[in-house]
Amino acid sequence: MNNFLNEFNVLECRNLTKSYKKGIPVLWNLNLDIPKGKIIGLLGPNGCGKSTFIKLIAGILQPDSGEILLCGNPIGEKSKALVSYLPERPYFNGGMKVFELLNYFGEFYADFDRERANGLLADLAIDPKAKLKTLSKGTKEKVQLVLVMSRDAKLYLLDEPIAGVDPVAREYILSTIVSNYNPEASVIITTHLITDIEQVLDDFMFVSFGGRILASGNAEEVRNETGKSLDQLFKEVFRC
Amino acid sequence: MLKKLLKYDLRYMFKLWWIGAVTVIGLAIIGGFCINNIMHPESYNTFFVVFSGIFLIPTVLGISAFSMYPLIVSFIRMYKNFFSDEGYLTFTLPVKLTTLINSKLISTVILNISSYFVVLLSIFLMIIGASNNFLEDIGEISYFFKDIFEYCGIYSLFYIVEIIAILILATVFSILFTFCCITFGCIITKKAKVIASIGIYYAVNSVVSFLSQIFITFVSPGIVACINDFPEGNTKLSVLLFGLVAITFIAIFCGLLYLLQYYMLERKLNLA
Repeated sequence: MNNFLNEFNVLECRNLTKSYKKGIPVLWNLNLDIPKGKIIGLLGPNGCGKSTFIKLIAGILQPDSGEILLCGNPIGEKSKALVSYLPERPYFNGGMKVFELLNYFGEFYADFDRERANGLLADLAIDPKAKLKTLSKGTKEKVQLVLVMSRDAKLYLLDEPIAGVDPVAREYILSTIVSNYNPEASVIITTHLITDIEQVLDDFMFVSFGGRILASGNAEEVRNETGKSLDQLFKEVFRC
Repeated sequence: MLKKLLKYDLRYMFKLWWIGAVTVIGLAIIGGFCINNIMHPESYNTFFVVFSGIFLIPTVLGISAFSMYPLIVSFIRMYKNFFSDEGYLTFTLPVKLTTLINSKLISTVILNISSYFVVLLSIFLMIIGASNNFLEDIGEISYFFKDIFEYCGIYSLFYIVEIIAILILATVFSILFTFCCITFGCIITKKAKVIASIGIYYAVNSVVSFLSQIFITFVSPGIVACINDFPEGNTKLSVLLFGLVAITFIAIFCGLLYLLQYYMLERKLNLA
């Protein structure tokens, strides 16, 4: 099941180790390649290091050792221009209006597509003049997703993108992810809601504690081979 | 990118600053007349003099509060932008870490210097209002400076440059010191980050004040003696040289704080 990582890579991680407390690594000697043009599900139990891995790629955390290359660039100014990151929590200044956030993204990200963002906001019936702090949690998450998916990035990092929204919005968000990402780019999605998300995944990785990859492969192939959904497989692999 | 970051930082910091600046200047103009009333009670009725005395309280409080504005606003901006959830956006922008720090530093320096000007202007306006013969009073002040210029000659120009450099560097030092305390406070604890930052700020400030007192008590007399020991005619030069030494030391401390700030954000940052 571990043979899909042989195309041109968007992301390469070598011997990646990260610990918050000495002697207790969250990620230990992780080696991983992410090919371009894939939607990959990073699936694992709480505390297994999924978010830490994503934060390392986004450049929010620094690894203790190892190397991360994004399109050949080490994590820094250049790599950040190529990554579109959606954290698991609202992270915008609540005092800003939605259109001000669009301006902000337009100023800092050369690949930001303003028209696409306006179209998505209109589809989701979000008023661009609304202040962020007046919006519900779910709507804030939609605004964040709109901004993140309106970039022509090389790698999209979506940390729990559908956790806080209603089932109808989930469907729209998933279709947005599929239809809006650049086919030359890749998407890494972490979530616990495997049933909802597995329909859009090309590949998956089951990550265990310490960042150990227990299983990985093409989602469709695995379903055909085993006759089980990813959700069922996940429960089998991580059963206590 | 620095320009873009500065635009957003300055917009945030000066959003309420204008209101404060206009209020303080207004209070200072009225406060000046109030001082005049108190100084010449025979010219006004008692109620007016008492009212003037009472009005001076908000004037002084307003100027004091406005002096604190840069510290408080830069603290909030730094904390929210770097260590609250907004940090997820700040640290994923395609800019260098030095650019992020420089933006915060430059915008806070501009805010501080603008506030100094407003406070000085307020005091000046109060003096104008308080004085019955303003031109005469100003004349006396100008004589004082004239005497200094006559005594120091060309050195007075160098002294002015040194004083400005020391003021700017001291401002930069104070800002970097505050930034380092906030960063350290936010790194060592996951909860109560603000309390930890303020606690560290006051704790380190107390230690620095204590060391400064020791320095002033034991080292300053030595420096004065050293200046006096210079050969006759070289005292002005020695003051200039000591000014340069002071500038060098403050610049070195600023550099060290900058590196510490960079190191903590680069290696120790861990947003919850």
